[in-house]
Amino acid sequence: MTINWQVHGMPDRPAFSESLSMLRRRTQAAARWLAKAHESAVVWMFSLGVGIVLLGGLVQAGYRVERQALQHQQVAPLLGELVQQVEAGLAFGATFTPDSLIQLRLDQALAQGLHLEAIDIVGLDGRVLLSTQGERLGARPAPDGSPAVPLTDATGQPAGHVLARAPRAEQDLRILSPGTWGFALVLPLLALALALRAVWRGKPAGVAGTRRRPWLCTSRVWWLGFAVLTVAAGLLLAGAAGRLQRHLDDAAAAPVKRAAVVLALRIGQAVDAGVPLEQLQGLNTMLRQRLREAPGVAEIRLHDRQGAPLAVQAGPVRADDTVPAEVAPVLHRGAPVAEVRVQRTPPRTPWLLLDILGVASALVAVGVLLIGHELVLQAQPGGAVTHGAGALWQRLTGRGLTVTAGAGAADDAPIAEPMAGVLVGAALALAAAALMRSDASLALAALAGPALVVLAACVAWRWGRALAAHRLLSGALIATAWCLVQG
Amino acid sequence: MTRPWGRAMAAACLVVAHAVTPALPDAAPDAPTIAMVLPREEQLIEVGFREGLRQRGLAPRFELVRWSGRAEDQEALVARLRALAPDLIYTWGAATTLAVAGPAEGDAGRYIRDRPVVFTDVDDPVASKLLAQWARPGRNLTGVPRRAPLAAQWAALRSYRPFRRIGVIVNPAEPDTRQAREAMGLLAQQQGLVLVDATLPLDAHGEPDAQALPALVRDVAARGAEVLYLGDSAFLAHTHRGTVTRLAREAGLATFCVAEGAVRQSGCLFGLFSEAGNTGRFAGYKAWQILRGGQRVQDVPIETLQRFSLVINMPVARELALYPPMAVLQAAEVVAPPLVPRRQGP
Repeated sequence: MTINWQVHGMPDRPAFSESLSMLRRRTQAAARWLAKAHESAVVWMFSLGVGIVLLGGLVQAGYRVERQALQHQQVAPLLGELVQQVEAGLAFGATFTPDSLIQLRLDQALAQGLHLEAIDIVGLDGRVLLSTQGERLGARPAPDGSPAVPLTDATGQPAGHVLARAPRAEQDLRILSPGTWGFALVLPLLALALALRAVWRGKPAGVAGTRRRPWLCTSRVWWLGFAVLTVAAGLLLAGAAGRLQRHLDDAAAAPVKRAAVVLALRIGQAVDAGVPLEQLQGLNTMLRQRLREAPGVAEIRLHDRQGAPLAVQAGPVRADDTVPAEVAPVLHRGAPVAEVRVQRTPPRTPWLLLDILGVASALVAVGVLLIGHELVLQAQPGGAVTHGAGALWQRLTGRGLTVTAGAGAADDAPIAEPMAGVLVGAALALAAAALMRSDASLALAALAGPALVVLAACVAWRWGRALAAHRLLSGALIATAWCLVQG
Repeated sequence: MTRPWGRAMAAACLVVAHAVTPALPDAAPDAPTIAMVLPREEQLIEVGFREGLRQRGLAPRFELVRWSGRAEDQEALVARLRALAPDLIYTWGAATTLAVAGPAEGDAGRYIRDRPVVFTDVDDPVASKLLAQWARPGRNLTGVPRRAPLAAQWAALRSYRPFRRIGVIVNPAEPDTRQAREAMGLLAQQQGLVLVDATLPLDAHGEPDAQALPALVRDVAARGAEVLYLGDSAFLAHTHRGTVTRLAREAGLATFCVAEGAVRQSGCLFGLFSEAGNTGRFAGYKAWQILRGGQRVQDVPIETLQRFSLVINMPVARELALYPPMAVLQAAEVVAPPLVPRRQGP
């Protein structure tokens, strides 16, 4: 009885009964909303998740390309000079023994401050013949993408290669920790929760079977998704840019430091050979050559011990006085007799990478949202509900469902389509710039976004939204032409 | 009657002392046999030759055959080699190679023509008459000339200083120096340089007159030569190299030498050479091409090393105040042999 009273009637406590009834109605309404929403929600979550993974992969690929290019840019001149010295040593009859002249050259190269872990000479059989790390002799280094330059002996026959290995930490090309990745992937869930809450508060339950606007296609949800992807892309780009900036600083400083060390070493060798410091022949030519070849070097000076200048060469770019000069002592039999001072130019950040990645990221976000938008339109036609992934797939691929959304649905993302067009154009222009820089990987990264937008246009066309597809493609073409003309 | 005995005596007295080098421990039973014909003990170049073969996994049996250098012993030498029947013959120097393989136009019966011969240290196989022409030897002969090509020598010479007037002395008793003079004349014409040449007078016996050297060197210097090129002249670059380089220093002339010893052990300023070990290794590679690489000796080109050693004599540079440029120092070996002191006064 007590139970029945509590359930069926509470004459002496009507407020509680109404509350319970309201709660029950709201719960039922929520269940209906959730039942209707869950497929669309899954579609949105999937779209946003895929978008973030795509963005992460895009930024990671761009970062990897740029990082490896920086590593190569730093190490290539060193290896080139080292190979010349080793080959000259071989021409003099030097051999790959730890007490040879070649070993000395390897050690000198390692001391040039390029954050290298070791420099090896690897023979034709793949074994290390000589190394700056004695314990590596005889080892077989596994190919890991470390910069290597082939070596020939005095007869012109291959003699192996010189291999420069960066420390393991430097070889790590990941830009974000798994935790940050996880956080970026939680963002879609958060967005969905916010969207559902907004819809729950703002819209009463509709009448089942009526043809109405799919609520998860509203501009509000669209913009929320765009915001989520933008934040995720921003996080990823900031992570990449932050790490890359450190490497860029190192890369900018390395040639300057190396110029000072190498010049001091060479002048020291000449003095050791018996050439008086004041009679160094071809010194200015060598300084000019170094100035020309080493990026970021503004001025090179050679001073004697008393500070009197012996030679000065300056490039066209004024030196950056805010950065202290790199100073390397010239040693004659271990005692300093002069010093080389190298002043650097103001740092210059290559923005091309971030431009391409930024535009490409925005484009991926727009492309993902457009595709998600189309999928949601199909997932929730007129408020009808289907259950299960199989049913959803059939709906999405079924022939009978060509026009499923009302006319208003096409206007749900009025800004997205022209914006996508502009972004496609910008991305294509940047891809062309990347190609001109002979950077195919970056060009491909920049083309990922346009590909997604074209895919979205195809999806729209497939499901009868010819107008949307037409606007997407024509916007993209016009914007591309404009960007190329401007470029 | 005496002729067979004479031959026997020649064979017995032949300084072609035959020493059978014990087979290497890892020489396979079917390993090829290489006869090494040398007028001297084995040196770095032969070590390089063996290493060149070993690097490619070939461990042949070596038969060391000593050659006296005398023309009368040539017949016995060839007989000895025919008896050994090696798979390949290694020779050092032009005279030894000529004794074994003979001149290109020589009597085939007197020389080894049916076995491959690989030589080292022959400066110019054409001038030595081993070959009719460089391009297609067309005979059982290949090898590694030791001397750097003339163009490479001049490039090295002009990397030291942009010399424009190059002095050269021709010894009429050595035809090679005349040929070299002609080649240098052509090169000088191509490069817009001036050749300042002088010819050694011959004495009553047809021998070059060493007494004329001081006047000759001074004459070359007085005519504006900036550097004296000492080519393949045994008289100038070997026998009298100390005198010639001292005279050049006294006249303020730089010297560029083709003979390595003139820089390393005498007073020549600098020179461009093939390192002996590398030359031997390259010859070893050519032997391997014939023995294991399936190539006919006729098809293996005669070629020099691709990289040479620039050697600078720093005491001479200091004395002439003609220090090497920084760029040259990076690629050069600097040596400091004791110098013959210059004579004081005129």
